[in-house]
Amino acid sequence: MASITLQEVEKRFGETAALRPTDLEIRDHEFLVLVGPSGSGKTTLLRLIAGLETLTGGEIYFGDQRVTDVDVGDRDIAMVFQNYGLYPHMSVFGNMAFGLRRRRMDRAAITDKVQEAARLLRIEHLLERKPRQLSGGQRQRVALGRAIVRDPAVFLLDEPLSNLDAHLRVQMRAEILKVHRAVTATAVYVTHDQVEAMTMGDRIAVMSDGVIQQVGTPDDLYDHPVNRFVAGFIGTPSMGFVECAREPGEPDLLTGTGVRLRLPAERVAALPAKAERVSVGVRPERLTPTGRGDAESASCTIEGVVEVVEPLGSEQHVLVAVGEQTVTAKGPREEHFEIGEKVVFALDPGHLHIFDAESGEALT
Amino acid sequence: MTAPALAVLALVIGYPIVRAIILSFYHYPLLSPFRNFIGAGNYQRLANDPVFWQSLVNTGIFTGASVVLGLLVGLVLALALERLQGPWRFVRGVLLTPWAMPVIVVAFLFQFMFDEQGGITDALLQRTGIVHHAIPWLTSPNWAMVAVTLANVWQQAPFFLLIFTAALGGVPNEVIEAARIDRARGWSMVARIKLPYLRSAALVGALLMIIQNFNNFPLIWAMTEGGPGYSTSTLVIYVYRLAFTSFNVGYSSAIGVVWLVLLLFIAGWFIRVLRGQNS
Ligand SMILES: Nc1ncnc2c1ncn2[C@@H]1O[C@H](COP(=O)(O)OP(=O)(O)O)[C@@H](O)[C@H]1O
Ligand SMILES: [Mg+2]
Repeated sequence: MASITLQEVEKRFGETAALRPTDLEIRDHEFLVLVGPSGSGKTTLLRLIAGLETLTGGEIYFGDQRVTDVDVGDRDIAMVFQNYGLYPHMSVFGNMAFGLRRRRMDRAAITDKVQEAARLLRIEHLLERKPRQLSGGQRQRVALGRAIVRDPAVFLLDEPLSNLDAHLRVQMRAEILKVHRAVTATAVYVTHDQVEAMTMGDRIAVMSDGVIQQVGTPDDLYDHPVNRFVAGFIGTPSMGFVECAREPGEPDLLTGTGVRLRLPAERVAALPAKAERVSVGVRPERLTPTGRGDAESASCTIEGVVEVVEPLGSEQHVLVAVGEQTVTAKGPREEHFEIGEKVVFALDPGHLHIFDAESGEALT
Repeated sequence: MTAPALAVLALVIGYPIVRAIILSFYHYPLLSPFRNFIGAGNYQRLANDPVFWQSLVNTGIFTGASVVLGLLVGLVLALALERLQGPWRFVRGVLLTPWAMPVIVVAFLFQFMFDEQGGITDALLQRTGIVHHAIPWLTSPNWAMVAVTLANVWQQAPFFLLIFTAALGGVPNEVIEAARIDRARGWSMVARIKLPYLRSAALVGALLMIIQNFNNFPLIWAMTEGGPGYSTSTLVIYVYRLAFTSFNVGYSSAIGVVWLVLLLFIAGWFIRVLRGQNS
């Protein structure tokens, strides 16, 4: 039983509210990713769960046991740090065995445990080495090994891959998931990289300004972002936004510079009557360029000028200026665009994300 | 640029050494016009001079005790004061002041404190009932060594406090936190996690202080002049006494040469250890 429950958990450093009162339920065995820009409070939240930081307010439960005041050494958690935090004067074996020795496990059992973890991480041949004799990837494996030998109920990772090069990072993502499946602990994983979040998380909590904006599966977040922040943060390239106003007397028509969106009845019904200014978001892959002729007949069109074309081999990204804003379109490389060319996109109204222009909240 | 610099160095450092080595082969009382070449005579005399041997032993005791005690006191203080935050950090600043005091001031301060009649140390010890009779700090041969060593430790422990505080600041937070998660507490946190980070600071600090105390003249001279008898006489004190109170330049040069050789060994060891640290 190691679900994690946060009730009104809050952390302030003097005047700074690093984490505003937060409720969160992390399920047993789940792999939850905390993602958000730097300074959004991810590390603070993780350290509160670990017990490395004391709460300003609220309660934390592991299962139904209240751990708010339980010392970090007694919480049955393990943590992997960004800079690994290995003990430099101990061998790899010593690093992994230290926590077990402190828990008075007997010698033979310790050796078994360490060997088993080392096998899982393929570092058996490194057990005698000191951390400084290891590469970054190997150190990371040792840090993972040290975390899992104890069979912790809760497994916490704070940007563990950010010191590795891109290639190794992709490899280690899979490694970490494999380890998580093997140990069946509840994992909380912090990253600022939304691709990492999307590929790894059973569920993702998106944070900004000390607030969890939304919690959900990767698909939830991608398809139904609750506000403009989440919509813009999740997905690469980012969702494009255009500002629109509702035409007086024509509640189903949204217009803006270069934008003309006629909504179907069910979407209009979902919009609050008083929503006059809205921000409309479109995913890059939903922006398909049309010939001039089709544009007349399409119910929803966005028109702009090509600013930048980014070829990526398999596909291309086209940055298009629409009035004051820029939206990105993603499409096959075969289509040819000139810088400065005028383009018109036709849109399926079902793919529009409509947000309140003031609050940024999703409106449908 | 190197050649002239080397020449100046050779002159400034080399000349006095060569001079001392040459003088050590002469019988050369400063007050008489004669000096005779006597070969190894001074060195033979030295081998049979009980005061020389006593001074050598005293040098070892004074240096060893000062460094070991200073290091331990500095270490304990550094660990105890590590958590000081905000305005409380001034406590550490206050504790560092002895290190900045002129040695002479320290010497006089402790002379007053260790005074048998009305010194504060004996007064306190008697008032609290720890001892019944005043301890003859500076007038008994055994206590005199204790007194100069204590004064020395008082002045030098802050140096160790300083270097250990700096070294503790270099222990990465993540390592400390990983250890807390691994349930290292109290003594195991200190012994298994922190002390290993202090090893090189301890080594370098100890070696520096060994050299410093090997040469420590002013404190002892101002407190006891090497007495009573020769009980606190170290090699430096003895050389000084021979040269400038007995005016026996040849013999004191011979002792100076022995002392220099010992120092060279310590310095060589020091340099080797430093090299080992860097690689
Ligand atoms: N020990 C601390 N003292 C003061 N402010 C802190 C401390 N730790 C974090 N903060 C502040 O709390 C906010 C959230 O920080 P953090 O949780 O580290 O963000 P993230 O991990 O998402 O980058 C930041 O504004 C940061 O400056
Ligand atoms: Mg962080």
